[in-house]
Amino acid sequence: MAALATAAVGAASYATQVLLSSSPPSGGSWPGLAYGISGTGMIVFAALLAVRRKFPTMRVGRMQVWMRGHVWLGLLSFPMILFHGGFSLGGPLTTALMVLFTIITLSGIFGLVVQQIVPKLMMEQIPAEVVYEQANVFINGLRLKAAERVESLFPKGRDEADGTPYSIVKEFLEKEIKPFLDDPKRKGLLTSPKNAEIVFTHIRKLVPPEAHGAVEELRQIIEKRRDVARQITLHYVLHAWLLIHVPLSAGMLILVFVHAIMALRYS
Amino acid sequence: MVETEPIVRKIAHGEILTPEQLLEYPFFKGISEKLLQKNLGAVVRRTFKKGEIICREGEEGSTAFYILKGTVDIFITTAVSHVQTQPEAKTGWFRKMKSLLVGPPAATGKTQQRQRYIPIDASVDLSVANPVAQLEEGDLFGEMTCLSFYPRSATVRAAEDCVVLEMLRNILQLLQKNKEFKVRVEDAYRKRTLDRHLRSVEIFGELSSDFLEFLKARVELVDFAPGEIICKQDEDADAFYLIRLGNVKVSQRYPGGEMVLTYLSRGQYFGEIGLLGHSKRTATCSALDKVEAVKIRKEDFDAMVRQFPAIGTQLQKVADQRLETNRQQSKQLETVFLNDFLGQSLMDANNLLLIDLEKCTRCDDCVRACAASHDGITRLIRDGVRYDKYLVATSCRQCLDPLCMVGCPVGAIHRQPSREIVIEDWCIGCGLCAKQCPYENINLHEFVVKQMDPETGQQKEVVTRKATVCDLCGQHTEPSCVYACPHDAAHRVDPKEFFHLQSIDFIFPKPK
Amino acid sequence: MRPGLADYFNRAHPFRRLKGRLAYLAAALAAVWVAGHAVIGQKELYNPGEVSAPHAFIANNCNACHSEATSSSLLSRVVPDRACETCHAGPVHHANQIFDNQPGGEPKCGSCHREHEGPMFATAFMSSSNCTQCHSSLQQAAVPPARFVTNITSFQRDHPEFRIIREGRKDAATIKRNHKKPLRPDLPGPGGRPTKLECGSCHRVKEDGTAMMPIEFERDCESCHSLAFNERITSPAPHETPDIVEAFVRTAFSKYAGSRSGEWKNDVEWNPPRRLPEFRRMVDEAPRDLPEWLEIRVRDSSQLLFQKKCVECHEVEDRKATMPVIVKPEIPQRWLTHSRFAHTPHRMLQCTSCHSGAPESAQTMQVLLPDRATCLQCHNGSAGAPSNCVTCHAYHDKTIPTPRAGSLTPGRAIGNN
Repeated sequence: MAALATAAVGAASYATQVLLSSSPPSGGSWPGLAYGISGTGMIVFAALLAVRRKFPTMRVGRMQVWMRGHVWLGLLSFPMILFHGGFSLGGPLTTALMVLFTIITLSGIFGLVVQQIVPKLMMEQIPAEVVYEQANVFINGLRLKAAERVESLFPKGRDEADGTPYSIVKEFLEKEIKPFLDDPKRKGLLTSPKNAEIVFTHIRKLVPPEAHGAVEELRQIIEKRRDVARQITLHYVLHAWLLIHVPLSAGMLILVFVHAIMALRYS
Repeated sequence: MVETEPIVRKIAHGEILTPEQLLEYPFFKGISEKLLQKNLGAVVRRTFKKGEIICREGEEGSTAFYILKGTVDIFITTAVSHVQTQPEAKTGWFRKMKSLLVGPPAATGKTQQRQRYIPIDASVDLSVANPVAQLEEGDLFGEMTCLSFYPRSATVRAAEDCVVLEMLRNILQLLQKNKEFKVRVEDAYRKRTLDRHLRSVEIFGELSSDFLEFLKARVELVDFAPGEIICKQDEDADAFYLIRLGNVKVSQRYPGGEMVLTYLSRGQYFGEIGLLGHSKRTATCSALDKVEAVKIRKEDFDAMVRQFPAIGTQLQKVADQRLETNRQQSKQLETVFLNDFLGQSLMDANNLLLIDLEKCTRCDDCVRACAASHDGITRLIRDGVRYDKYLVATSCRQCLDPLCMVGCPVGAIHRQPSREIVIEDWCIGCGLCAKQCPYENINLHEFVVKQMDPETGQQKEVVTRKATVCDLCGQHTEPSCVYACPHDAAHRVDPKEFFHLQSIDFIFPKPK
Repeated sequence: MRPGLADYFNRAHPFRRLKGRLAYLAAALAAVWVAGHAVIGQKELYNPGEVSAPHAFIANNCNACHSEATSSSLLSRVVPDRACETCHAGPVHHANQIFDNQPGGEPKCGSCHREHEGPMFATAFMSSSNCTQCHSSLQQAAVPPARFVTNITSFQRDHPEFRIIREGRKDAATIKRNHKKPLRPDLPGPGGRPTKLECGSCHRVKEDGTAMMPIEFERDCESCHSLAFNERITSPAPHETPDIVEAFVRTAFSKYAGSRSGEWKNDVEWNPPRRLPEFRRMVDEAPRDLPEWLEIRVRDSSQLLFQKKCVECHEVEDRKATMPVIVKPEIPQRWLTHSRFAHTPHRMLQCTSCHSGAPESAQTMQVLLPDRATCLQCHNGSAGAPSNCVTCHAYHDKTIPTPRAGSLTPGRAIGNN
């Protein structure tokens, strides 16, 4: 359905582009106005997606349809507005609009591309994905688990003594594991997976077999933290473009509104 | 001198009665003193002042109470209200954080066909409109808690100063062997609840009260041990059973496995068709725990009908209708193919919410939509096991064997014919169903509700818990989560069909 | 269930919050930007483009054209014709034209003239589409019968042939014009010297570079075609009607006789006749006194002029009469009445590049105007020379006085439509 709409509008615009070639119509002339109105209509519908998502259960059309409409109509609106302006930037307000619009469209296209690639990457690279908003809770859990496991090695009924497996692992916990859990990117022994392997093998050699279970669990905790870090990075890649796309759209809508009023008033 | 063993306190409060004291009671007659001595402390006498709470709904327990003297009020305090599934979301900015409960159905203007009753663990049922009743001397309550450790189904408060006996299971079992005791308990049931239970049976509902009186007098009260099979699939149907106490599993056998159709509890019945004509049992019914039931034999029923011929024709019509419905339902069920290649965890499911991880942008719109159409509480968590590229979201799977349904103390959870789980308004939030669901698909939520405080007469805010479960948005054409996903990533599928569409490699996924 | 999973989506995650805040911030910035400009009264924000250079003096004064005083309604700031007419005159195109289906209807100034297209953009420039919107399918009243071709879309496609040529009109000037003779190479010039005439020897361009000047005898012809009538009188006769010429001749001779009173007696033919009868006639005819001599002289000179010299170019009625009548030449000054042609932009061409028929033309009635095909050689839309309507035609009818002729109305008459 969206494809049909695309085809229809695209054809119409192509036909009119032939007329355009004889002399570019100004923004205020009838063809220019037609382009402007249709382009603005598309932009407004695209912006309404944000409103639609606030009421996801309202039965005004499946969210998918709205999303596809947003993408297609948003893409189409760009050439529409180019035709509207006759491919020229105009004065300060219209130049600002064109600049914003270009950035928004490009960021949107970037988002579209990223949405095809990154979810698959996330699925492949992170076997145990957590809900992003709960990542901190999960990492806290890891911290607690790590501390608990290390404490479980505390020799029962004795005071702490240096050189016991507990103290080795505890030092490892304090010096390497805890900082890693806080920030996996900072430089440390565990930063690269290969190094981590070597370090854990080394630790395993230093402690008696009873402690191997705990060490293995610590290793798994580290790997989980690494996964979560990777997941968070991918999440940012997947969503960061929205920080450009949405605010600029808000600004642009205001300016579109002002431009439409002023242009119609003065022409 | 016999050395007395140190008395171990088995029940927290109460006066431990000696065997001699116990044997003073007529219903303890016939029980060996030695047994009583062995189980010293398993039964205590307690006194309650007027207004004292004897037990609270939803609490764990292991004892039954027998009223020696006085009357008690038995009621449910949890607001009879449900988390509304809204046909059109009116939420958004204002009500995102707060959740509101809708009042009982009467308040919303929907009229009920029949007055609905909450089956509880006593000889009476509580009406939904006004869940309060009285129990008096000679009444027993808390049997299910005592025998099968289900949570308390209602709150009991002393209406006047009273004396009760609190006992553990072994004592109760001993007492139930005592004929007098049994008769007393059964009489209470017959007097107060049997009528309504019988009326609730569809085919008995329109019958004249004469016939029902006649019937009531001639029913048999039988009991079954846990695991005992009450009736078998394909056997001749020769009796009608109405459950007074306990849970019954109704299951059907198919090539490849067994499918649980439903679980029945207090006030529900099965086998009524067998009374009307000659038919075979369509399912196997087995007792999950100690079941006490009302039984009407076919021969007896036929005899009764002969005395009331008009009833016979009426019943025949109903019977024909039901047989047709059964035939159609069984046709549907025949197409179920149980694939036992994959592990039970997925194949137990009839309907999975799958999220395609290659399309999902982790935007949580599905969760938000679920919450929006269920008044702020989501029934779906975007987390769970993974299968190939799909995430199996934490949301009701419509299991073949609905373990969640077993043992609800107030009979609030049941399954629709279309296999959605529904939790009724009077859920008391005990959490049993949530514990029993192996996939954590049922969750308890706390709500703040304004309730009239009977003591002060003012509205006060009460925190109440309700269990919530995905109901597949039955009133919409499409579940809200699927409807609201912008990237076409969420789907509700029948895993058998869905995975059959994939290649054979899917069933045996290649090691990565 | 793990803690927080029940309602994590309800709590605004910092990322989402940031997105929301940035959105509000961006919207606020945009609003402030616009409002700020409004507060300081600067309207250039809304300028769709710079005004053209001639209007640069009001570039910062939007109200000069977009003002409440001139606009038709309170809300609109559309530029009305009134605003343009403050300085410019825009006379009506055609008194009975139909525009917008209204007889006498006129488009607005802004319908065709565009501003805000940048400083180099000529506001007066018109693309053909402004004209062909009506002239591609012109609706004309049945009565009076149509004068104009109704379907013109472009010069190169379906512009009609120039009417003069299309109707095969002849030059009806009553003057003998033979271009072939004077343009021949061995022309005897003044004083008998051979000379070569060019087109420019007789034809001169007007000072404003548009049309050619009408041929003036004194300027363009007299150098060869002198009107000297007698060796005694140095100044030639004026190029006037015969009565004035005769009066001039008489006056000239009178003056001459007056200063040389006795010379008339010496007026002897330098070639006396040998034969007696002729001699007798000469003696008979010789003037007896000064007035008679004067008359003879005047008569001879007039005859010379009227019968020889005037006739060279003019049509003379009743040639042999004492005072013939010279038919007024009525040389058409303009051939293309509905367009304006400027020779100056064509100065790089030879005259004969377009007026190719001139060197061979031997008859007055031949119209030597180039036809449309000649123009199309360059003005065909692809060879580089402009071929839009306003290159030759003007929309505004400058002959009609407008009630409010603006202060910047160009004084020249471009020609009427």
